[in-house]
Amino acid sequence: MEVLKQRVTVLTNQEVLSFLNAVKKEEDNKVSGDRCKMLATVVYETKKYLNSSPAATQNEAVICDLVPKLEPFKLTGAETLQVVNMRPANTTDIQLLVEETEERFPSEEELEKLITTITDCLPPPPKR
Amino acid sequence: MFILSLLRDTVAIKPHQLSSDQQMVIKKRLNERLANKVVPDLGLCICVYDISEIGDSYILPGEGDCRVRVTFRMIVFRPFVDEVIEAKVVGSSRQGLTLSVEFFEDIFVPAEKLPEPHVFEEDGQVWYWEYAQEDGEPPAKLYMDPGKIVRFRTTELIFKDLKPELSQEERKTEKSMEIKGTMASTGLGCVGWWTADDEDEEAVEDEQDEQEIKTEAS
Repeated sequence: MEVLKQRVTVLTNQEVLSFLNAVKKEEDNKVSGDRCKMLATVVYETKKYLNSSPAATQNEAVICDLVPKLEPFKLTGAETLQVVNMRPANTTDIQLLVEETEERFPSEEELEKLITTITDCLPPPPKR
Repeated sequence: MFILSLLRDTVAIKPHQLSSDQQMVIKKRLNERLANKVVPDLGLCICVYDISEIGDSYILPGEGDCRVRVTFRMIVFRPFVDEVIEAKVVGSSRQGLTLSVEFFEDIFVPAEKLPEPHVFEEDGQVWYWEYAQEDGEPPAKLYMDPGKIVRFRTTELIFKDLKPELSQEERKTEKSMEIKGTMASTGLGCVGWWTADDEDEEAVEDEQDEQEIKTEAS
């Protein structure tokens, strides 16, 4: 086997979760001889993890809604991905995900605006 | 956390499978071979995303299998350096903490990368963060015991080519893929340390929102 291109693109956790849900459905409809045991294990475990993450309550529409709204804040691609995956809801969370937050967001208002933009678009994560 | 990788492999299709849908058979063969396996220097394969190209098939002399070269995309677990991930503590020792994200359990935070100042308690073999209080009270002991949900920042991905002839014991300690992380920064460590207050506020807000919606509806 050869790796032609290591990273074609990155996926958000929501994209992976919805794809795995479809795979699970497909596998359930197969006769038992056609199923793949290894696949079932990894799909089950990954779904279990993602279902307790913010991805569980998200859908494609809310992410497509959020991403253009983040443009004025000039986040990098990796930061946008992290924001979608982690759904930061306070300043500590933002500082963790966005490099040099203080230099890039000198005013507190701007930072607050970023947080409200995120929390308005993305639904709260599932309760643990 | 997840990426799409473009891979190419040769798949053998058995004669009795030739009558069924080719795409399905190929996907199944690829998943059997790769799902839940680590590809060196790539990451942990989750499942086949789609098939981009099915090449010409050929049959070798003396056998009935039909072989095809397939180009396909795979969902791969490969965190990037500096990515922040939530995980559960599953192991604790003097060397550090072992974390798990359910489908991958070889995440290690060495002792020197735990929040400062950290103390190891021999009694329960657990680590705690000695959090200094401002009002002169003794420092709080914030425990990082197994079962807690923590956040860590990825610092390194290590791949090792393992020989197939390992003994049972070696197999337990040797890992083909390992993620090294750090928890020594504001916002990292147990999720509850940083979010408790804000989450409460949010919960109250949500309740208010719901009530508003109800009144509007009625």
